[in-house]
Amino acid sequence: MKKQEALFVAMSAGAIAFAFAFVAPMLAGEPIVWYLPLEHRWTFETRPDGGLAIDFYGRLLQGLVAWAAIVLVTLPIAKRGKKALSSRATGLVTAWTITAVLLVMLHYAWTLHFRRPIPEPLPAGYRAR
Amino acid sequence: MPEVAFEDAAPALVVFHALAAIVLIGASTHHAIIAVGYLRGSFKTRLGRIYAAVGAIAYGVTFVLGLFAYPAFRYHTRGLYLDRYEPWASNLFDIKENFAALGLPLVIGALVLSRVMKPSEDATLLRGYAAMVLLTAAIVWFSVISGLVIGQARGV
Repeated sequence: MKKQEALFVAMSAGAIAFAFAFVAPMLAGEPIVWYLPLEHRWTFETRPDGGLAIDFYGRLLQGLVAWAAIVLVTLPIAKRGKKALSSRATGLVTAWTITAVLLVMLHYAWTLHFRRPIPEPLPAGYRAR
Repeated sequence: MPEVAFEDAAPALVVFHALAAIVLIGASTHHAIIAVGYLRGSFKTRLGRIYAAVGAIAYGVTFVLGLFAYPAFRYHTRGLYLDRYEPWASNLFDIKENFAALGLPLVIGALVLSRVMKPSEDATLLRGYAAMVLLTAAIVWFSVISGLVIGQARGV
């Protein structure tokens, strides 16, 4: 397999891994890194009790780690392949990648569209910025 | 009044975030046009590489600036105001930020492929490359338009 074909396979696999690792905490309820902006601290758990907590950084980190791991594993394997990537195989890899990313996007669009966010309590003497 | 990280810098961060997004939407749109050109047999490889690089840098800068401004937005803008008065804007913002994150590996993939691929010779890779570039451009357009709409509801 040519270098560019191996890179295409690795990058596609990485994109799929990122998408699923990024959404996994929301679906599986697994522990991840949370940032608590009002307490100025980080925590690693399923869901911090009460208070404002941000999971975006943790999900992003998890996605990037999964992306790097899959790219590092897939690239040397793909490079060892002796056959050139066929047009059909390229089409399949492309379809899997785009479908995976679009599915995760659809999941976020669907769940967040219907979400009813809970506002933070207004602090004493609150004046809008 | 509770304080959050980068609270004072947040307005300036958002201005630079928007400036980087202007570069990003231009580069990703041009990159998408070049990628469609590859599929139609027009191989402007050098331009494709330039737009891929500019787009990747602008995507990274826009994304990182957004990450730094996020705690202030999350508490002051979303937590205290949007969640209370404009929940649709909160939800739209979260859709936008998640879409933007999902675009990261696509941007990196398109950048890497643009450097190693010879569009006139690697015909089998063109559809995959174009798919990555076009989906990235769609995410960028959605994010920019969403950002403008949310900013009208309430800025940082």
